[in-house]
Amino acid sequence: MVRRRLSSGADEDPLVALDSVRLQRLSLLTSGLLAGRPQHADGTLRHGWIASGQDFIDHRPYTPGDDPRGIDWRASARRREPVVRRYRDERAGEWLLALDRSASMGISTRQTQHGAWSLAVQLAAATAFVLTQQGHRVVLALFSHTVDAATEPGRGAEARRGVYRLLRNWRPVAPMRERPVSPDTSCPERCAPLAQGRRVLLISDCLRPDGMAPALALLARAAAGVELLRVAAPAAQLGGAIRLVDAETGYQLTVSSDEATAQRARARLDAVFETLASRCRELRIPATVAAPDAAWDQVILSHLLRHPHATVPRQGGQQPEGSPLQGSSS
Amino acid sequence: MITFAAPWWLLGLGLLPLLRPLHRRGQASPALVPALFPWITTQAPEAAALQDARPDPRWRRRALIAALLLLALAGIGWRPPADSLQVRVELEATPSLLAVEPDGRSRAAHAAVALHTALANAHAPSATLFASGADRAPSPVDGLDSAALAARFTRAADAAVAGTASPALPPPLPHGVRTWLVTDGTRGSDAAPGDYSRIITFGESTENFGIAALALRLDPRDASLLQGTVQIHNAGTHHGERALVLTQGQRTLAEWRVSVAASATEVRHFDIPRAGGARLLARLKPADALAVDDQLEVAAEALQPLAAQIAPECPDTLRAAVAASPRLESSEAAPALMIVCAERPSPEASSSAVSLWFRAASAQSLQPLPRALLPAPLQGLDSATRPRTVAIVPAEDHAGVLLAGTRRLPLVLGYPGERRIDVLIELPRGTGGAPALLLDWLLDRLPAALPQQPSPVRGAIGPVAARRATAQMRIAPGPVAQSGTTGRERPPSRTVPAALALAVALALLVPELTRTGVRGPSRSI
Repeated sequence: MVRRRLSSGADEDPLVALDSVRLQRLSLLTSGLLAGRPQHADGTLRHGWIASGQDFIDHRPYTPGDDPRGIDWRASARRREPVVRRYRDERAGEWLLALDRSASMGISTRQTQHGAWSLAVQLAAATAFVLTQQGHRVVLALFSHTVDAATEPGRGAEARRGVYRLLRNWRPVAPMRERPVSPDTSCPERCAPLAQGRRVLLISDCLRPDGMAPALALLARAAAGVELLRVAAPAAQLGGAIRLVDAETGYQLTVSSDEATAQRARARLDAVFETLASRCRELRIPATVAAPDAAWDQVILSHLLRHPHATVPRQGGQQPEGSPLQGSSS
Repeated sequence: MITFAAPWWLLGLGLLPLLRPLHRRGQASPALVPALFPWITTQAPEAAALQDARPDPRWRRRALIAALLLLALAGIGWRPPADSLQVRVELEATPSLLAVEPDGRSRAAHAAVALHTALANAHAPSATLFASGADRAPSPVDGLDSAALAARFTRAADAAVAGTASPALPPPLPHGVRTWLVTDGTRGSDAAPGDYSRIITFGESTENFGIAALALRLDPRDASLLQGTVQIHNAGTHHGERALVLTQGQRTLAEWRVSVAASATEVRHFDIPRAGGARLLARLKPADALAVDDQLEVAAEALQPLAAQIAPECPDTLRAAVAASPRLESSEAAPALMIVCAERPSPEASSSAVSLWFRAASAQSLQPLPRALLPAPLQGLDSATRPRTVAIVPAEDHAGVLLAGTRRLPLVLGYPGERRIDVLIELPRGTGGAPALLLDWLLDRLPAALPQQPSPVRGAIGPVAARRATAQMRIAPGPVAQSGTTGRERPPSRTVPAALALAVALALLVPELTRTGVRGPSRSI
C-alpha cells in the first residue's frame, strides 16, 4: 500500500524512490540496531520496538518471529490472515520533523537533477514512516524564512499520510522569485514554538553564514532534543569569470572562479560547517552529513550507527524519549 | 556523394563563428549558486579578464542548431558515387524532335541540353543511348558534349521522319539499373511505361499543320488534264488557318486559305493541265513549329498515256476500248504496250514492250465457262451464249502468275519474265463497255503481274501519290505513362538527409526554448 501511494505521484516526485520493502527493512534494521541498547546515557531506560503499553493502536500482518501470543485470533479470522495487535508504547514521544525548503535546497546540477531537495524529502518521509510505525506522534514543518506549512500532530497511518501529502505538494522556494522578508532566508528557529516538548529532527543544508549554529541553540533550548541531518549542497563546478547569483537572495557577485578562488570558497564553507559541527558537539546534537546523491535508507542507518549512544541533555525537566535516530554528536 | 539543392544557403555557415562573441556580451555569464557568502571574500576579476571571459557554453549548441538548419535549407542529399553510375538513356525518336520552340531552338537541342544537365548533375560523364529508330543499336554518347547530343537526336528524328523509326522503345531493363527516358511526350499514353529512374521531358509548342497526302492521276475524261487531291491535317490543339500553295516548277497553280479544326483533316481536289510536266509541290504558309511536314511533292511528269499498238485482228470492241482509254495512246512506232489477238504468239511482238495477248479472240477451240465462275445473272445462259475460255491442257505452260481463274481453269495469267499477260477468256460480244472495263482492269494488274515493268507503264497506271501519317505531325506534349514515379523528373533522393538534419535541429531547439522560458537568463551550476 505504501508503494502504491508513493508511486502515484508524478515522475519527478522524490517519494517515488521510497518503496515499502525498503521502508519495512529499514524499520526492522533500526529496531535491531537499537534493541538492547540504553536509550539514555544513564541506561535507566531501554528502547523497545515491541510496544508494551495497553493503548491499542491497530493490527499489522503477522511476520515470522513475532510472539504468537500477540496474534489477535478474532481479527485474523475476519481478515483470513494472521494479524497481531499493536499497542502504543507509553515511552513513545513527540517528534518534530523540520524540513528546510529554502531556495538553496532546490538548486540542481548536472549530476543531481533534483539537488538536495529530493534526498531531504525522502529522509523526512522515511523517518516519518519509521516513527509512526513505532507509535510516535509526528509533526512535519516546512520552513524557509518562516514556517510555511505544518501537519497536524498525529500517530499512525493518518499522520503518515498527512506527512506524505505535505511533502508531495510543496516544493523549494523558487530562486529569486519569492523575496524573503529578512536577509535570513532559512530560519529553523521559527519552528521553536512547534518544538516545545518535542524531539526535533532538522533536515537542512545549513547554508547560512553562521552555519545555523545559533538557530540550533535556540531549538535545543526549546525542544526535548535536536538531531541534525545536513544534506550537503551540490558542489559548484565553475570556471573563468562568472557572475554568481544567490539562489535565495538574488544578490550577484562577479568573481574569477579559478581554482584558487574556488578553493578559498570551499575553505570558507568548510570553516562554517566546522563551526557548526563544533557547536553541535557542544550542544550534544547528533549530526550527520549526507551527500545529495546518497541513498535515503543508508543515510538513516549511517546516522544511527555513528550515534549509537545519544547523550542528549534533558531540557526543561523533560525526560528525553526513545529515539530511533539518537546517537552521539559528531 | 553529398549534394545540395540550394547550396547558397551554405554561405550562412560562415556567420556561425559570430555566435561566440555574441554570447560573451561583455560580462561574465551568470551562474545560480545555493549560497553566495563563501565567495564574498574573493577578489573581483579585472576588466580584461571579463573581456576574455568564456562565453555562454550554450553558444556551441546554438551554433550546431543553426548549422543543421542551414544544411536542411540547402537541401542536403546523397547520391551514389559517380564512378559506379551507369546510365542507359532511351530516346523516344519522333519527328516532333525537329519542332522549333518559341525560343528558336529545336526540341532536339532542348533535349540535348536537358540530358546534358541531368548527366552533369548525376556526375555521369557518359551514357549509352538507345533510340526508337532504325538505329536500334546502342551507341555511347558523351554527356558533356551537348552539341553532339543534339546532332545525335536530330539524326534519330530524321529517321523518324523517313518512316524508319520503330513505334516503341525496347522494354526497360530490370529494376535496379538506371534507365532514363528522354521524351517530349507526343506519343502520350503510347509511351513505353516502365520503371525508369528518371524521365526527362521537354517541349512546349502544341500547334502544327501538315500535309497528310498529295495524289495525282490522269483525268479519265480528258487526257490533257491531271486530277489531284491534297489533305491538310491540323495536329494541334486549337483551330487554325493556313495558306495552301500548289506550285509546279516556278509556276504557282493555286493558293487557298484552309481552315481546319483541331485534330481534323481538310481535303481539297484540283485539276491541273498535264502539259506542265514538272513536279507538283504542295506547301503550307506560313511555316509553323514543325516545318518538315509543311510540304509534299509528287512527280507529275510520270503521268503520261502509255503508247500502245493493237493488232489488226483484234475485235472492234477491243480497238474501241483502246481508243477510248485515256491511259493509252495509239502509237505505231516504239509502242510500250502491244495488244495481240491470236491463238499463237505473234512473231512481230517486240521483246521490249509489254504485251497483252488475247488468245481467245482467234482461238478455234473454246470451252464454255463453268456456271460456278460466272456472276449469278449469267448463270442462266445456255452453253452457246455463255462466255467461253481457251482450253489449256495441263501439259501446256501456264506457270505464270495467276491473276484470275483457278489453278485448274486459268483465265488471266501473267508472265513476268516474258513481260506478257495472257487473257484466256473470250471477249464479250457486242458493243458494250465490257472490253474497256476488262482493259482497265488489266492495266491495274500490271504492277502485280510485271514487277519489272518499264517506267512508262508505271506512269500510265497511276496515280502517283505521297503520304504522311498524321501521327507523325503531332507535337503537343502529352502525359507520360510511368509506374512508380510522377512528375517530369525524379530527382535524387534528398528527403531523408534533409529531414534528418531538420529533426535533429528541432530536437535540440525544443529544450533550448524550454530552458530559456523557465530558467531565465541564469543557469545552474
